[in-house]
Amino acid sequence: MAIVMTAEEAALESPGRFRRRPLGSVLLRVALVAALLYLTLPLLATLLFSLATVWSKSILPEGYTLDWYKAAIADDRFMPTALHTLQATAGAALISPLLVVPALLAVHLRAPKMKPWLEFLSIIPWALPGVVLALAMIRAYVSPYNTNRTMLLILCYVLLSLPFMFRSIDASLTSIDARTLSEAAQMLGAGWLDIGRRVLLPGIMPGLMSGMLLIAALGAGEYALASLLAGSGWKTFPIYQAQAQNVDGRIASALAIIGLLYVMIVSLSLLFVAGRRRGGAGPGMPVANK
Amino acid sequence: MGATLQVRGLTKTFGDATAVNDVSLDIAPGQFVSLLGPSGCGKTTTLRIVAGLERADSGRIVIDGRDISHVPPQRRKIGMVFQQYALFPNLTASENIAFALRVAREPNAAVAARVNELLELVHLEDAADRYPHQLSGGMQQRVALARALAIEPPLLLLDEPLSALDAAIRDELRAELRRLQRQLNLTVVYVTHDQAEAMALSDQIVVMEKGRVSQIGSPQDLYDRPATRFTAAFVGSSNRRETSLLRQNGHASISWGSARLPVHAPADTPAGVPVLAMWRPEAALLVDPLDPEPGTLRGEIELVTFLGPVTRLDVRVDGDSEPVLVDIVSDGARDLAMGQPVNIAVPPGSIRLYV
Repeated sequence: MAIVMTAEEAALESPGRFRRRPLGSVLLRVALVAALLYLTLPLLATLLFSLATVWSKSILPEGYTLDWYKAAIADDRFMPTALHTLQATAGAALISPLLVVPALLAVHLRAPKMKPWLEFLSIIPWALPGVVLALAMIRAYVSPYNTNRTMLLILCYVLLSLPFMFRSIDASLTSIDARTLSEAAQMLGAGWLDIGRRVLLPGIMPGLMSGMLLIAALGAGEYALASLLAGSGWKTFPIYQAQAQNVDGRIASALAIIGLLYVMIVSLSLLFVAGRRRGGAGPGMPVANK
Repeated sequence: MGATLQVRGLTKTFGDATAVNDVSLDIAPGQFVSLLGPSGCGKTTTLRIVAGLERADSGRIVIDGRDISHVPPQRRKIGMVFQQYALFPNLTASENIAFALRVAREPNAAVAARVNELLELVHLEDAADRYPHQLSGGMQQRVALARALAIEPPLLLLDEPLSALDAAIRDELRAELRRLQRQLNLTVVYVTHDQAEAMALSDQIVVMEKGRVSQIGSPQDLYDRPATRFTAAFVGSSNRRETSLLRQNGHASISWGSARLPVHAPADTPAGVPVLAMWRPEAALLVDPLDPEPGTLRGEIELVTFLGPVTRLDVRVDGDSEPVLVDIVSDGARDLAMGQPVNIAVPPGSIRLYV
């Protein structure tokens, strides 16, 4: 009897489910496609524009060429600005963990009560407009004795990267329960050097990687601070991009695509390194499995 | 080979709270000793001080005659297993087990041989290359155990190692732990709040209360002769009432509900002294209710609970505020039903008094 009932119920249920499902899945698909279009259309347009000979009256460009890329790369400003951006982001990516990791280790291993304070401090740079931050840095640190604006820019990037670094490394340390793991390692005879190398570093690696990735993305697109702080003396890639925009939009588009490729290569290589460090274990990138 | 462990006058405060208060222990080689008590009684802090992970305010830790109170944990050569396994997530089971040997810069061949031996010891040969997140809780704790044993520690500390596991796996690992401890002749200090676990595993149990040692003894000792009010209440089921000692014609008794129960009391305890009286549910006997003897408890069965070999009765005793528990062999309990009047006799020798 019970089986008959179940079959009846199933028969009653299924038409309704069939009626509902197509509508839901159609809506979902439309939403997905809309989101994809919204995100990719500008990129696609930039890509097409950077490859276009002329693109004024038609839906698609009238012809294709790599000339704008050649022009962009051949320009005297390309290599120096690209290098400057690399230097600034690499500098920030190295200094930021040096600030964040020891502080977070101290908080996780010794003084968990300090964590909200650190979190609050790390978010301050984001609450200030870039212009204010830049001018404040200049007022505070630039003097006749110190005119190293490059270092100032790097330190500004460090400040801006603090919330990224802080959060991603904090998540890693929480997910591995750094304190207990350190104690376990200690009981197995490990000194602090071994604990750092064999336990903590592999543990924070995913967080470190995603923090560095965000710094790379920041440096590749940041214009306001770079132009205010380093200015004409030490131009970064986004400054060159802005200048190219005044000459020919197609060269600027080619530069934008190159910048995107750069961020993509950085993120893929960081993902690759992080994946190798973890021995390919488990899914998910930023947070280690517990 | 197991070590001797002596703990002398250990005291530790956190802010205003005294977590461990003048704790002293003597543990012989090859003994399995449990620190048992409710949460916050200082058992874990005591263990962590022995491990070196916490520094005591005063007191000494002596292993095999050597005072290690000021030796850092990484040089104490003590094995430790944590409640939450604490396996290194980026290392496989065998790499976890090899950790201590790698840190000690042992040659590769020796490490591999030892790791295989340990994997076999904890029956995890097949899981050697799996990462912790690919292992069940029971398997992770086996890896943690093997990892702690890698350096052949003379002393093994376990901090509630089974409490995060399912009941079935807990029982299995418990038996396994006892086997390993015997086989390797390890000295083990085991922290638990689970008295059944402590009873099943231990040679000696240290009952702790509010940072102090309440009683040290074998499981039988603690059960049959709890020395303090706290141990009496904490270990095993019991019937307990605050009452006072009565003396009449040289015979000592206590009042329980509206009845009087004869007791054995030390001659120097005067009448009128307030006492805590305690007896075990299995000490009581059911007697014929139609033939009420003096010195028995009259009451009515409130609840019958079948527990397998024994059946537990909750009996509402005349004039008493809460039911008493009586365990009888299940065979004799077939005809008992709720609401039935019964008479309970408690042998005077089974009633323990705490002044």
